[in-house]
Amino acid sequence: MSLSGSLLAGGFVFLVADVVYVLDHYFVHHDRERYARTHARHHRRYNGPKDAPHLDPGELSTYNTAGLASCVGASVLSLYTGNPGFLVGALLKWIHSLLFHLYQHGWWDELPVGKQGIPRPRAWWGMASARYHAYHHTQPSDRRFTYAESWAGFDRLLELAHPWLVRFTADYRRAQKERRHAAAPRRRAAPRMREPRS
Amino acid sequence: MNWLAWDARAFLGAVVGAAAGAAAYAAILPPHEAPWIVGLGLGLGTAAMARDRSTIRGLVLGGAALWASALAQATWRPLSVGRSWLAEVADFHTTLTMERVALHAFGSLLAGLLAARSLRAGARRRLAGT
Repeated sequence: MSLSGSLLAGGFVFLVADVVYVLDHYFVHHDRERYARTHARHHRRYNGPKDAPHLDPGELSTYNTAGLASCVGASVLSLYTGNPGFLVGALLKWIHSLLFHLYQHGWWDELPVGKQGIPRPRAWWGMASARYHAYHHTQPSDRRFTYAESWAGFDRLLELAHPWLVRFTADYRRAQKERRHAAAPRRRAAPRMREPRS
Repeated sequence: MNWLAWDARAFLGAVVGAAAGAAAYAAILPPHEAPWIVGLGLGLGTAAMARDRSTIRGLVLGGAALWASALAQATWRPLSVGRSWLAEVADFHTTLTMERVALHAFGSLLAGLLAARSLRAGARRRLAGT
């Protein structure tokens, strides 16, 4: 297997894993119930004083489960193609995810990250820096998506797809259901027109 | 937090199930080639021992089943006698035909579907963050 083939395979897995993370991140931010149950704590931490280790059990579980799942999938690709690059790419992505967040968590000290005045990044198509993603931690509901950890272009594509993609989110489905429920009793209660008596 | 609902019991179930599946694969090998039986064993073993259900565990073990059946094939159906086992594993991809891929994939599907479940009554489903 050539070095260029391995590099291509590794880069492919690295980027695909980031797409999956970006999409999952988008969907958890558009699912009120799942957000409140799982992800909200992650954001609350950044906007308050330091109260736990850099990576708490919830964050470790999330990053390691995602890393393990992508490594198993990538290792199967390596097994079936004979190209070790797939597995190496997944391992690098796992390490990158942990280090990327640990680096940001390093800023989180006496002064919460949310109060450090991290500026809103411009909507660009280059690499996603730690500062770029940290903005999302401090402003989780901002319309400028900064979910990406490697290429900011994934966020730009997501912003373009948002008007269509939002229909597949749990919040949208929930809102549609509530709208249907709200409309149903009114239809039942509509008064019937009587025939005029002759 | 353990999204995979992964503990020593589930791990033991997966390993013993895969080993039993591999033994069955070796026993019926001539004339039947049924690598999917390894995935079946792995899935059943996990479901029998796991305390909770987990979809992500099913996905991970579906992938692990492909490894288990590949290792079983490299052990009991080597490309040539006398080669090292590691070389057999490294060259596994050269043995693949459409039929073989389908048989291994079927085993992975069985493992994934079964390993996401738990035979324990009242088993709850583990979700992200739980």
